[in-house]
Amino acid sequence: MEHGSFEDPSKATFSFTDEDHTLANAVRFTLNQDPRVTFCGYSIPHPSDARVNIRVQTTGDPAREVLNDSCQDLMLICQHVRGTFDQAISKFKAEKGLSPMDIKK
Amino acid sequence: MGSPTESESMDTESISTQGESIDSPKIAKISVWDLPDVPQGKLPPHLELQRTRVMCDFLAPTNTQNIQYSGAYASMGVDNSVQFEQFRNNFKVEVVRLDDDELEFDMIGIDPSLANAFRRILIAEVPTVAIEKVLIANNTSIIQDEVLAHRLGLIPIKVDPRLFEYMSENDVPNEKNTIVFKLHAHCEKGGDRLRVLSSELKWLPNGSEFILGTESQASNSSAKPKTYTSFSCSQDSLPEFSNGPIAPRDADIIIAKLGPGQEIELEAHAVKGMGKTHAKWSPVATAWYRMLPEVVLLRDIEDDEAEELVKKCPVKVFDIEDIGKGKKRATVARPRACTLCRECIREEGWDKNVAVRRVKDHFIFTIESTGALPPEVLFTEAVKILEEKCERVITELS
Amino acid sequence: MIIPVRCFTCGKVIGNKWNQYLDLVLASYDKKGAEKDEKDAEEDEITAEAEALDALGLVRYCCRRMLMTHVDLIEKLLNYNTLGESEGS
Repeated sequence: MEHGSFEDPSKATFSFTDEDHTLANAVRFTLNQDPRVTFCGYSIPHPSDARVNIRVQTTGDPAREVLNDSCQDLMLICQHVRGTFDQAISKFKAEKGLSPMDIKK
Repeated sequence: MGSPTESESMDTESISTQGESIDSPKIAKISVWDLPDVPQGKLPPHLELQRTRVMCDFLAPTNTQNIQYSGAYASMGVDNSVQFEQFRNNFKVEVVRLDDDELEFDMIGIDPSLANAFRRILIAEVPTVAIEKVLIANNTSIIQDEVLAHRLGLIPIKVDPRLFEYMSENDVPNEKNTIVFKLHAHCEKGGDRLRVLSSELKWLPNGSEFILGTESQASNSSAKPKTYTSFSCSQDSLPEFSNGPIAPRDADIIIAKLGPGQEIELEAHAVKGMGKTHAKWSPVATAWYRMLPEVVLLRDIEDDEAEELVKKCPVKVFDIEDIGKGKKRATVARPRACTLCRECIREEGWDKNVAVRRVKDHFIFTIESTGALPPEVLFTEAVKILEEKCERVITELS
Repeated sequence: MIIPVRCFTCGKVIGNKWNQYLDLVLASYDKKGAEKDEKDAEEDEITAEAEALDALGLVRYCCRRMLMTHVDLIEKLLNYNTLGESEGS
C-alpha cells in the first residue's frame, strides 16, 4: 500500500503487511545506496501489528520506481550471495573428498 | 569535513595509505591542513578506518555505526553508493567448517543489514515439520498430558519440509500436510522403570488409526472407518519418502519415564510451520554471526614486553617470534580467537601498543542445524526466502 | 522434573544427553577421587562437570546450565507410584 500525494510522487510512505525488520532494514540499506534517494527510513508503528512503513523521498524520480529498483537490487544481491555460497560449499566439499552438493535439493 | 581527531589508532599495516606524510605509524594526529586539497577518489586513511572498522577502545567500542547514505562522502569526492558490479567483485564466501549439523563460514563484503536478514530468516522463517497435535488415548504416567505434548513438539523430525504443504485452519489433514506418529509404551507391573525414548515414535504412513468418535460404527461397516486424518494414499507409496521411514532425528531423547504399571498411548500429528509461530519449528539451534576481530600491534613489542603481552591474553592470540640476536618479538598469530575482552589494553599505556578492532563487513557466520535439513541447504533456503519477499514487494508495487 | 528436550535459550537438543552426562560425571568422579588423596585440589582444576559438558559438545553456557542445574525429580516422584503395587504386596 502506498501513501503519497498525487502532486508530488517523489515522496511516499509504503506500508507492507506481514513484514518486519528482516525485509525493511535490508531494503533501507539498498535504498540508501541509491544516489537518487534523499531520505529513507522505516518504522514499525506497533509491535503487535505485523506491519512496517517505509518512507522514501527522492531527488525527483517517483518514489515507487526507486523502491522497485531497490527491491530488484536486493534480489540481484541475494542471487549472487546464493551462487557464491553454493560454489564455496561445493569447493569445500570437493576438497574434503565428498561428492559435490546437489544444489537443487 | 569532520575534524580528524580520532586518528591516533591509525596505522599503515591494515589500511593502505596514500598520503606521503602519513605513512609512519608513529604519527598520532593528522592536522586537517596536511590532508591533500584535491580529492583523490579515496577517503583519507583515518576516515577509511572509521568507515571499515569498529574500534574496541578501552572504555567502549567506537565507530559502531555504519555509514549507509550514498552521499555521505560526497564533499570528498568519494561515492559511497554500492553498485551491484562492485558488490559482485568484493563479495566472497569462505567455508571454515562443515559437518552434518554445523556450518561455519566467512561472509566477506556484505552489509550487516543483509547478514542480519539472513540470520533472522534462518531462525524464524525457514519452515520445518514438528509435532503440533497430540491425541492422547491413555496417559497414566506422572508427566501431565500437556507437558508430554509439549515435549513431543520439541523433538526434531528428520524430514524435508519442502515436500509438504502448510495446513491452514480449515484444511483437513491429508497425506500432503500431515505426518502421523504413534507412541505406545507400557511398563510391566513388578518390573523396572521404563524410559520412553523418541525412537518409540512410530511413523504411520497411512494416517491416523484412531476412529472418529462421532462416526456411528454400524452405519456402513464395509467402508473404511473415518479417522482423524483423511489420507488418500499411503505416504510410503510416494516416491519422496521411499528412502526409509520418517522418524525423529535423535533416537535417544527421553520423552517420559514410566513407573511399573504406567502406560502412554497416543498419536502425534506433525505439520509444517515456521519458527516465528513457535520455536519448535525453528530449523536451527541458533544461527549467529560475529565480525572478524582484528588485532594490530601499533609498534614493535619486544623481549620482556612481548612475554608480558602473550601472558595477558586469555585466548592466546599472540605468539612470540625470534628475530635473531636473541631478540624476541610479539606477533598476532590467531586474531580469530580474539573475544575482544580487551585484557591486552587494560593496563595503563597499553592501548598505545595494541589496537583491537572489528572488520565491519567481514562476518563469521555459524549455523547449527537441528537436523531436518543440512546447514548449507538451510542457508540457501534462507536466501531464497529473502528473494521471495522482494518479489512480493515488487508485485505489490506494480 | 525431567530433563527438558531442548535448551530453553538456543534450542539445542539436550534431551538425549542427560544419561551420558551422568555417566561421564560419575566416571570422572571415580577417577578424580582416587587422585585426590595424592594431591590437594588445585585452583585451576577442571571440574568433572566441565569435562563432561565439553565431551558432550555443549559449548554455550545456556546449554551447559541446562544440564548442570537440572534436578531429576521424576526419579523421586516415581517412588510414589500407586499403579505399580501388585496385588501381592
